[in-house]
Amino acid sequence: MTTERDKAEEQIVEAAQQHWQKDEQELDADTLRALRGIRHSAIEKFKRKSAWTTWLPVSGAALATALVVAVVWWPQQADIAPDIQIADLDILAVDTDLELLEELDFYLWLEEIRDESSAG
Amino acid sequence: MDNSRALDRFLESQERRAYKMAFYATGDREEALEIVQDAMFKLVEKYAHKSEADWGPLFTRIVQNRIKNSYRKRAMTQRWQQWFGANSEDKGDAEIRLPADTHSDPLRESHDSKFVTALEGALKALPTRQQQVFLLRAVQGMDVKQSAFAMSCSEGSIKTHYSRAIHKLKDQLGIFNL
Repeated sequence: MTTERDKAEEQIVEAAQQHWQKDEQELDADTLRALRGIRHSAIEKFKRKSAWTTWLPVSGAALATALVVAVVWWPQQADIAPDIQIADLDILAVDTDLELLEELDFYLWLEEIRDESSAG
Repeated sequence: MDNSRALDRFLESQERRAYKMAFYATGDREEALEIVQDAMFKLVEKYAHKSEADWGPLFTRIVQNRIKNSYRKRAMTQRWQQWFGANSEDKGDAEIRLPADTHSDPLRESHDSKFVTALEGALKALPTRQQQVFLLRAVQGMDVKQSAFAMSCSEGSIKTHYSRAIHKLKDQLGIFNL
């Protein structure tokens, strides 16, 4: 009895396997096209995700580098600032010379008058 | 690392089988395609980084989960329909069945063909879990452990579902003097 039942099971399994394989191979063209489309969409999605995950660390590294450079460079710029202030003091110190330059025409005329007076 | 080609090859090798599994379970082409799409998208999104050897069991498991979700939705719809008097038949989640495919192909007139047609109808009429376990074990050749992983259940459940499926198939196909 058990052997008969096992044989029956074997028959069912074998028939199911054959039918399944045949069915898989004979899927209609529309379904195959739909499956191909789904697969391509999935692969495209994967490629987009891969590209994003590849560039993310690179972008992160670039940003980190920029931050490090900024942090190191900024205090140096702060050190330069007092020198600029000293330069400004120098300019302020020669403020009188600037006044001379602004009134240069007057001083030149004054000089000419003096020369003419001494000559005359 | 770009393993899109390997992934494409893998999915190509699985797409027909996954579709058939889903179609047997749902009886609906569009729903079956949706299940395959969800499964493929989930695999590439969550498990593409795993080794190729792991893709097979994971993909089968995802397909099975999607089939289960699809049946839950259908069961919920049927319950709502019953509450509102649209459908007086309630078989419960475990006993939800698709109508057996009794459509006869004129070309299938021989004894063998009739047997195959009857087998297909009997398979589609099995409760989903029994049907899927039978397909995994008998048709796809998975062992109990692999089937249990795919179905997210215990090995004992797999044995029980398979045994019940075989008994029902034998009963329904007894007319063919197996």
